[in-house]
Amino acid sequence: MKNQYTPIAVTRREFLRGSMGGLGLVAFSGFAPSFLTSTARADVARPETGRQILVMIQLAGGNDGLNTCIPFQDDMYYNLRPDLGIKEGYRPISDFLALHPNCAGMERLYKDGNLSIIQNVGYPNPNRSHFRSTEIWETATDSDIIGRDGWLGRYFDNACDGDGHTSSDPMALHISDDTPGHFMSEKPHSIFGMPARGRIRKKNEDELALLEKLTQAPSASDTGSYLQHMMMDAIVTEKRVQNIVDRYKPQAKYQGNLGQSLQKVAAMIAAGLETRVYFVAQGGYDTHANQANGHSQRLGELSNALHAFQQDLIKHKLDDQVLTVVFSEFGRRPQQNGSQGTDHGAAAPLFVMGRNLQTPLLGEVPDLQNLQNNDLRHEYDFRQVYASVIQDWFKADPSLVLDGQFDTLPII
Amino acid sequence: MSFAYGNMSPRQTWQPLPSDQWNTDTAAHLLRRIGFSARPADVQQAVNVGLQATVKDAFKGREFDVPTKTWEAELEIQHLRRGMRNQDEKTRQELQKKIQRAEREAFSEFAMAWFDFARQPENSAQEKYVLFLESMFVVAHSKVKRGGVLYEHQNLLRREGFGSYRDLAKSVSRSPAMIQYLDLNRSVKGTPNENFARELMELFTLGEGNYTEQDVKEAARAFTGYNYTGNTDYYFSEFRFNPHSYDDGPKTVFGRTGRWNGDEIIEMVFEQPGAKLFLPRELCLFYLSETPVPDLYLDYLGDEWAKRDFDQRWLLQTVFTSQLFFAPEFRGELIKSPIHYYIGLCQDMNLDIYPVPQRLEGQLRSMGQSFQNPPNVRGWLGGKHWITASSLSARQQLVRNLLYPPNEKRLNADEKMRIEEAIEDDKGPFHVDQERLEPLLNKDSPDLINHLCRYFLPKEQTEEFKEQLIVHVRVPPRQRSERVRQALLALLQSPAYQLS
Repeated sequence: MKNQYTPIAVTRREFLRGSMGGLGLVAFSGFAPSFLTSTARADVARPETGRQILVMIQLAGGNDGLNTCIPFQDDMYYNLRPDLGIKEGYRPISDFLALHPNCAGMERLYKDGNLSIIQNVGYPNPNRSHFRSTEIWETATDSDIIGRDGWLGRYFDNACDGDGHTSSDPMALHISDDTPGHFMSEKPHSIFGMPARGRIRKKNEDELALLEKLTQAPSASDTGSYLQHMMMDAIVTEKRVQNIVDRYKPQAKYQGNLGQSLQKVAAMIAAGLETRVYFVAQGGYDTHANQANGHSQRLGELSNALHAFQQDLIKHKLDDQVLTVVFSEFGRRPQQNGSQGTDHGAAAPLFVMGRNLQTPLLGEVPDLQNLQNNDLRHEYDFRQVYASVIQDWFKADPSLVLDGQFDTLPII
Repeated sequence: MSFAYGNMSPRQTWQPLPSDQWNTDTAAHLLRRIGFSARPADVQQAVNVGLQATVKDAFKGREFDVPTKTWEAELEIQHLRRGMRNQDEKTRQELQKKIQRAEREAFSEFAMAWFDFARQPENSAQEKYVLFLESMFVVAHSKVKRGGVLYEHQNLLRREGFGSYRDLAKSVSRSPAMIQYLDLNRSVKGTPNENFARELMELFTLGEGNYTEQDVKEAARAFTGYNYTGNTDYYFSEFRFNPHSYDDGPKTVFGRTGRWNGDEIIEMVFEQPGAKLFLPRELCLFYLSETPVPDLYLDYLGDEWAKRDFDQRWLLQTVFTSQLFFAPEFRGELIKSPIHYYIGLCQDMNLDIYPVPQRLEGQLRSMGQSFQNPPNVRGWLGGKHWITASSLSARQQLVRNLLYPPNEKRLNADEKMRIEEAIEDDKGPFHVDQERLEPLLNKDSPDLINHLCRYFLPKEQTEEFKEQLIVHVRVPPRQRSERVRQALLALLQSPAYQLS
């Protein structure tokens, strides 16, 4: 972006001073307009290599944990699932547990120490509504409390001010139609969203040129000037992101929709965006009927995508900067239903992917003898995983983000 | 931050604007804020009839009937539900799918009909206030699901939204959508659910710091037994009180002990000092400025409001005619919500809402304000929270859709049918056609741009801003039409038009 029109403010400080005066109590949370910093960008050091980036992947719909991590020694499993139980082709990772036959990539990741499996993750008094349970995971509240902010939003609000997210890069980026509730916050932060499929819509250059000129003309109002900065940032970020995605040369073979999304994430990480958190979703896990084929395909896509993503990061020597967490709003009922599927359940395995993970397998084999309302009991609270991510990955204080004390887990 | 009204006493700030200050500028400010747009003819009309009469007329009370298609879809749902009895699982699943489809339809037809209604300028102020009340008494489609029930909740706000706020709060506690949204139906004697009691105090009436955890816990017991029915003769769902689940024991709330029921709790809530400030504060945040008006000023307003039994019509009339409301520093500084932006665009350009519900839903979602579907119980935070890279991009796309006709070939059969239906219904146009631009084309460039800026923008723009537009349209006649359209596009996409 060439700064060929009248600049609004010369320096970031001047910009902030000017804006703060007019905007009163507005929390500025470190937006700097790109067109002010872009000329300087060339001289600025690349983002520090000590970045800690988090990639959250939601398996939307409720992943069937028992057919993902299969307790293949347990007769009870086959009793509960005479048709759906997976009897052959599974990939043992311990004496009692095996990954789904389609999870070759995840098996390799596991054996290389790049994938941790945490068994039986859930929360007390599980809710079986997609909407509500997703919200519980997003807000990290007890299941009987309706929260407002997302846990990552609270992290942005409370723990990120200090290290000054000063760049124009978005703080968080999601590849999904809606902004995920994880990012909801008290203060405004720069959140960028990309469509899950296809490119960002291409804009007519002539049109955009005039809009850019208007956006850079001196503003008639204070809020107007705030909007100008945001809009200029948006225009620049959009172009930049699309450019990064278009030019990216992946060092691994990505497949499927999830693969395409993760390739975009890899592109942005490799391009040095200062974005701290990425959110990606993979749908299709709500397998009430004729589950076997569909579920197997989803897991195949997941496994390939995860493996490709990690390989790509390793080849780019970026795997030490990225932690990936794969979760689902709930698991599914151990007992298969009458339509060759499974209904909404409770606890399920959660996956953490990254370099030098501490414990490959955490937690017991799911206890099918000791169910609660016909569902698996949780052994770990998902907020223990969040607490570990905040403390051991982001090096921040979990109490700034989570309500209540949650013991961290030896993962990272 | 210093306010120009700083040298007025709090009492003075809420006195009516002197009539010599009632002019096209102040009238335009009023219309943009109480409704969605300020077209020159409407502004002139407002100037002519005067400030008090304009505000009074804006909230006259207009009915919004159940949208026919929502009603039909709800009937179909009932029919399908009845048909599910004694069926095998496969049939039930098929019926379940049909029910889900009908549920989606009931809701999207409600959305479509509401936009058509709110888009009529005479309904705009009322419906904007309904939007405000929806941001107070939040329910969400994602949880409540049923279009008919959501309609009834909205209609309750419309029907009682101009009386006492305290009475409205009582009615809302009986609204099936609210009972479902905040789990009141699961709150029973012995195991009360605190959701509703907490939000009642925190988000509906008092705000944090004006009650204790103990108050919430005890009040929750008073709201046990609240439940709702399925369809009845007159409603899609109705309040039902179940005395067996009601906890009639003594409760201590705000330091007073008694066998309080839900209504009595609400009475007590409104006796708290926080109650008289809460709604006026929220109202100012919604309509006036993201920067809160200091409590010093709200105190006076709140006291007077409480004396009038929390009458909302009085509050609206007082605020929207007050000197404070017209203070120059507030003008043109409020970021439009996506719904404001959308309806405002249609009104400003005399367009009808594009009659395809899926399109409407998609546009609203990508701008970050899905109809009746806030992200959580706090509702939308509004203001600067509306603005993200993706929401701005979606706003730009919306303007493009209104300025350039859709590619007919890409419309599916359903969309074509909807458009034909709407045209038969005398609706349209849905985008700016050549005819609209024609009168503009002969103006000389500075005149044209000055005209457009004055018409569309809340503030006088800088010369540099206008110059960019003037240069753009100063072209030979055969290019002019396209250039004017582009100028209009950029103007409506520009940061300046995001403001009200």
